[in-house]
Amino acid sequence: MIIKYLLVPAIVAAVYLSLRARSSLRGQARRKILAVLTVIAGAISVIFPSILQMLADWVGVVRGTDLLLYILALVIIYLVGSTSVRFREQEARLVVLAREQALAEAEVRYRTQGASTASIPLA
Amino acid sequence: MDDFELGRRHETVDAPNPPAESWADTVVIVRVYNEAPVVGGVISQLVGAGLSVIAVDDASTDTSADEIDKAGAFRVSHPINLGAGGALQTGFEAALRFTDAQYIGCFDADGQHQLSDLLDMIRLIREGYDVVMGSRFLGDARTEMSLLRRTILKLAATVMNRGEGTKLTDAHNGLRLVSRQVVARVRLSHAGMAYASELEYQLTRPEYKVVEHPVHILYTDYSRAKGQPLLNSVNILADTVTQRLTHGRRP
Repeated sequence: MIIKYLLVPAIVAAVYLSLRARSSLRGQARRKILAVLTVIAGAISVIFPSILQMLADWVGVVRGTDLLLYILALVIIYLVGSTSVRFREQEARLVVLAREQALAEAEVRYRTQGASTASIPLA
Repeated sequence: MDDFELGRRHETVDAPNPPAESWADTVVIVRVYNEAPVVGGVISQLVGAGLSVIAVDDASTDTSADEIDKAGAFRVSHPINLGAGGALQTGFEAALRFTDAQYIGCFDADGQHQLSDLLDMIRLIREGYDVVMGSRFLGDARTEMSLLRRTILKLAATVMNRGEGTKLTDAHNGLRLVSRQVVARVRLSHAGMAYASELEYQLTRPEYKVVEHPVHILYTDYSRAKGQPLLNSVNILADTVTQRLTHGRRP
């Protein structure tokens, strides 16, 4: 059962790599290569379904569709992780933008309406 | 300067300090998120004692902004809600940009902190400390809390304390007083509540002189209803772990 030794490290790697996924140029290039390979592998497995079954037999999975399911699960885990990291990065940018806007607005408000109402002296 | 003299003479202070004592070297940051019923009173008390107050309105949907203006604080209003950490970082940057205060304090808007504790902490930091942290477990342990909350906070304090730096007896206490130089180095990347452990980590660098001061937290029905549920500690832990995984450990 080679699959056991493939799946466990693969799931750990998927979680780790996805959380580390930064929008570096190298990472983007890897993703594009992966996308092309996925298309090719998909086409081959549709045209020659027996290849998927051969692969499954070789790693010790009963059916080719099961092997596909495992791969799909790994892809989803990776996607969830890397999407959450993306969201987090986006959020961080939004925070900086909103803070800048708030500080600028406060400064204008107190300079125009007079700082007399506020209890702090503007430096 | 004339105004200052005038204010000093008419000052009515309900804190146990002589009117001659000036707090001009301190600015207090109050984070406000939908606290309209209480925030006016809290800020008025601080302003009345002669403290400068920067209130960060974290996109409140009630009348908090009006209450802040009426109470006489410098208001910075977020266009969107940024969470506790985001608001605190805004307050820090506003304090650095708009004031020349030597000490910057954090005070909760829900009235659970005591003005007298803050004033004691200001007196303490003037003795030459970089950071004064409030602790609910020091001194005669006056703060009443459930056993579960006490246990989790103690545990959090222990977990966060691993590594070098100052050992703290309390975790996530909102009452802090920090010197200007230290505030200038604070970078909070967590927007949500997990900011507290991140902040504590950045405030207790080994080169800082850090001291804890016993404070009394009033868990009123209001603050209890507004406060974070204990289950939120799961969020905080998860955020902290993923942050470390993504960005690696800070030096």
